[in-house]
Amino acid sequence: MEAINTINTMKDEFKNPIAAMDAFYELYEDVYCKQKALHEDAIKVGTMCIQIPSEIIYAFDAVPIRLCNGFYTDDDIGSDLLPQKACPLVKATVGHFASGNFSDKPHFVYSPTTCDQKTKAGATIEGFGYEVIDVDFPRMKESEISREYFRQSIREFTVDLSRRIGKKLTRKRLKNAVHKIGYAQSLYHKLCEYRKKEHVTISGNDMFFITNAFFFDKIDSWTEKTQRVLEELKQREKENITVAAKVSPRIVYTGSPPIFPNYKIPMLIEQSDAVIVADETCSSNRMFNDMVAVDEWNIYGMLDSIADKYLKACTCPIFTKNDDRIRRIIDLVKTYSADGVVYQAFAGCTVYELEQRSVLEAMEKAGIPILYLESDYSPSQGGQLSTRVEAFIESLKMKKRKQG
Amino acid sequence: MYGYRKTMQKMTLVFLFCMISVANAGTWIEQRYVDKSAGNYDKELYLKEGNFPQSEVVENLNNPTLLYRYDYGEVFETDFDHGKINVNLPYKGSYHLFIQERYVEDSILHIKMYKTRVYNSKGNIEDSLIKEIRGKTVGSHFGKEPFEAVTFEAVLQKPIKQHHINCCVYSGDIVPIKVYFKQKQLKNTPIVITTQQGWEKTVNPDSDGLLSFEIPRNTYADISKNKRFKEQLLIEAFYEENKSGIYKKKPYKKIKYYLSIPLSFHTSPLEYTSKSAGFYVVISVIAVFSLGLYYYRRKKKKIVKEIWFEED
Amino acid sequence: MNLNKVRFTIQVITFLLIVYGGYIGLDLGDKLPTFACVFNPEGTGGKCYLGMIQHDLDHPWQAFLGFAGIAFLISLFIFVLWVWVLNKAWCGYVCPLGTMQDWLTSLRKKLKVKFIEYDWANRESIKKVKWILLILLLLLPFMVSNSLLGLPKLPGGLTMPFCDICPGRMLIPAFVGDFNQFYIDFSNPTDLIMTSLGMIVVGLFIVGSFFKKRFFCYFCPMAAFQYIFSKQSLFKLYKDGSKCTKCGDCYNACDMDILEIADDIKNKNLVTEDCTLCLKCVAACPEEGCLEANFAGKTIFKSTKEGFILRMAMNQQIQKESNND
Repeated sequence: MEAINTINTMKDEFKNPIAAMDAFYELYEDVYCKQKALHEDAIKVGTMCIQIPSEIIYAFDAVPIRLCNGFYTDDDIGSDLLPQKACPLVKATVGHFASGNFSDKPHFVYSPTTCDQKTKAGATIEGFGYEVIDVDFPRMKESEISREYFRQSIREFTVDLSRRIGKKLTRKRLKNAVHKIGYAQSLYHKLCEYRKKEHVTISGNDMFFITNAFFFDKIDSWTEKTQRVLEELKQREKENITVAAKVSPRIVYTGSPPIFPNYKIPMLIEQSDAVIVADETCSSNRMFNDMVAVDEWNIYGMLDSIADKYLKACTCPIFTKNDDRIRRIIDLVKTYSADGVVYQAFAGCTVYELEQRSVLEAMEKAGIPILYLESDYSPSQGGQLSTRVEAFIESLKMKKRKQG
Repeated sequence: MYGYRKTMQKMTLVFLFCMISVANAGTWIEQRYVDKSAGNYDKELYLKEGNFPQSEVVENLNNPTLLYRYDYGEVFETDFDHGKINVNLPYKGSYHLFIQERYVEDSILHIKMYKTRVYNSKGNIEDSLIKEIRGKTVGSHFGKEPFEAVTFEAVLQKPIKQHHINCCVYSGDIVPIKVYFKQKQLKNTPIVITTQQGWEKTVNPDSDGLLSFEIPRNTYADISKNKRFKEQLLIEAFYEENKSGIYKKKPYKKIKYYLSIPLSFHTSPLEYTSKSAGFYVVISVIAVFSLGLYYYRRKKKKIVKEIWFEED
Repeated sequence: MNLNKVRFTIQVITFLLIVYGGYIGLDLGDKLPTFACVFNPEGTGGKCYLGMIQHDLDHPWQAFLGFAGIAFLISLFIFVLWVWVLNKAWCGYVCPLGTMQDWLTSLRKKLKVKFIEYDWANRESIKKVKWILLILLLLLPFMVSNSLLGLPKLPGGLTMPFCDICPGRMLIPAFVGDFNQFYIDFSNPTDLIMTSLGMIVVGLFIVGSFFKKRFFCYFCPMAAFQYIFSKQSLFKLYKDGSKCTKCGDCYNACDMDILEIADDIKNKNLVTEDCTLCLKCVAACPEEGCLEANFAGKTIFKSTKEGFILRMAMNQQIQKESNND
């Protein structure tokens, strides 16, 4: 229900929809409404968080499925199993396992020890008969010990995965996997180039649809669909078709990840006549932003580069310091000429809530208007949130009009 | 014409033999270091004559001129009389110094050249500024072009050696020499080498006119105490020309040229260095470290064996 | 641009010029900030300044009050001018020892052997060795002619202490066919120790550079000497800290394992004492305009997203392999 609602809202309520996006909407309908299985025979490796390297999983010819869930129904189920005040995303994920209605059921699940809730959720999920393997993830990224620790951890992960799948890791396959994902990431960067321009040809919500599809789609068909979107965007730019007015404030969205179909707040923002030009979330930007750079294309070099990229470039708030995240947001504001930042934290997400103070202070210092919201998956919150969002966007609009 | 030339050559050779057997007296320039103060050395040059190596300072010279040529080619000419040679070398660097003596005796004009190479470590700062900025890579003391101002000259070519030192001459090195008359190479003029022990040898030119001799090793010297034993030898060259004329109101019918070059050398470093020892040390260091690393890595590999196996 | 290819070409050209340049009459002077070895007298295209400065310092101190002192200052000034032209890029692009090490590294890559990495604590202590070597090479020749602090004058074998242990002395003439420098001198204890050390250093150089990228450059006193004058140079490496995502790609690419290039987001000028200005970090940076190589105010090489994608070959779609499902 929620799924189809979200998709229909996307199709109908926004101006100048992109024709090539229909392929993506169809994909979501197939997977979430019709429960169609996309990866018939491949080994499906479930991942609980972004820090599990997809390159290694693809190198074994397996398919990584990101299990972060956005459905309120699953959140409801999960509330019985986890404390009420827990993070709604984790509750929804656990609830999904409890209900067990996967279109592509993972053979086993890897859970990195990131935030408290995900760390503990692993044991609960095991209770439903799934195999959950914990992957060590450090809470600091500056020290030598944590970097070495994660490199070792990735090696253990690779050996474990190769044992389970029964294949050996070869240099050619790993290289191809790195290139495959690198190519997908380069397409994302090309898409982002269109968002940097003054006339935005693609809305932020469409971007969320595209990036979210990467969680579960076949990578080859994903790249194909994205290429078609890119071609259409090129056309749209020539014909000067935009999704927002000239005075629409440009927003950078950051915080807890909006996962399909929980696009409540991004849709609110765009329905209030603003446009999301960039985001700093782990379901969207963070997956694609940093590409793996390899110095020596042998297994030892590639594995270490992959481990370093997934740790050092990560701006997840689970780390002790968050300077990197603040600099990233400020850099995004500058590069995409944004007018304001919307920081949304789930009610119950300790880490994002704790970070809001330092982020707000930094934004004030830099002179960037920021709106802090707390929300969860329940549909009843709509009214309160929309007032605040609309007010914020109005103030940005006034500022923009004054500047002319 | 041809027959005449041949007889002339024969006569020259006969004369040379006579000269060698009759008198061993030679004249050459000697360099001495004088300690001015606190390690500051000054060089003094004296003209000596005698039976090499015994010698005395020359007191009187006949119409002497002093020429010196700087490494880059500049020429200076001054007068000097006797005793200590007064040289005021302008730039820092290497010079070839010639003292030329001319006199007529028994209707023979004797032209004697005493040559040596001097290194000046001090210099005039204004003149040397550009040269100092430019800097010079290792130039060779050997193989220079003959000096235009000097009629009869011998030039040392690059020595052939087996050891590693490039700057000086050592025992065991083969020193080739080219003799020039009026800047043209003479192909059949021998030279005489005399060492400090009194041993002497006449060196004949080979088919190209190149005179080569090997610097002899001094078997009498006790080098166990001082392995860098320094010695001298004297190279002398003679030439005759049948030409008549008048010099300083004295007529002459023949000109005799004489050239002396003193050469210092040390014991060959091959006596106290060992190349094979060097190679053994290098090879053993490489072997020890690479094997050590290899075994260390094999020990560490056992945990993640599956990953490391397929580097193809 | 493909930095690897460009760098390889430039390194080969400068190697030929420095090791064989003398045969075609090339003479860049004797104050070069790179290892152009004196012991290769015919072929060398210049002379390394470390050799000259050791030779110059071997005089009694009174000599420095006169002509010798002025000559010394002029030499030093010319050396500093050379450093200001290329900064530490002498190390990354010109130095023949550096080129040899890079060739050994390519050999290792082809044999698929993993490289060695030092841990951070060791790296810090190793960095100090080059300064100790620099101070020794300046002090020992001076102490041969002068008696400092009541110590006796040092034996003559220590007039060129660094030349005795420098691997360039043995290896550079080897490229002209002259293997005479591989020897051990048994005449007196000083020479015996110094030449044995020299042989050991050559062995370590070959093994070390095979396993560790640019092994010798950590210990090189020329790097220390250049670094003293590096700040005012024309050739600079700039970093824009606000664009840096701290992804660590530059550190991954760096041969000298310089942490500051990845972790330092405050400083603008990032030529550290180990840096060889090889510009591999600029080539590996995926952020637009974050790292930049700048000569006399003009940007000659900048990190761009496009460039990164091209260099890592992420711009082609890989065809489906037949054994994929």
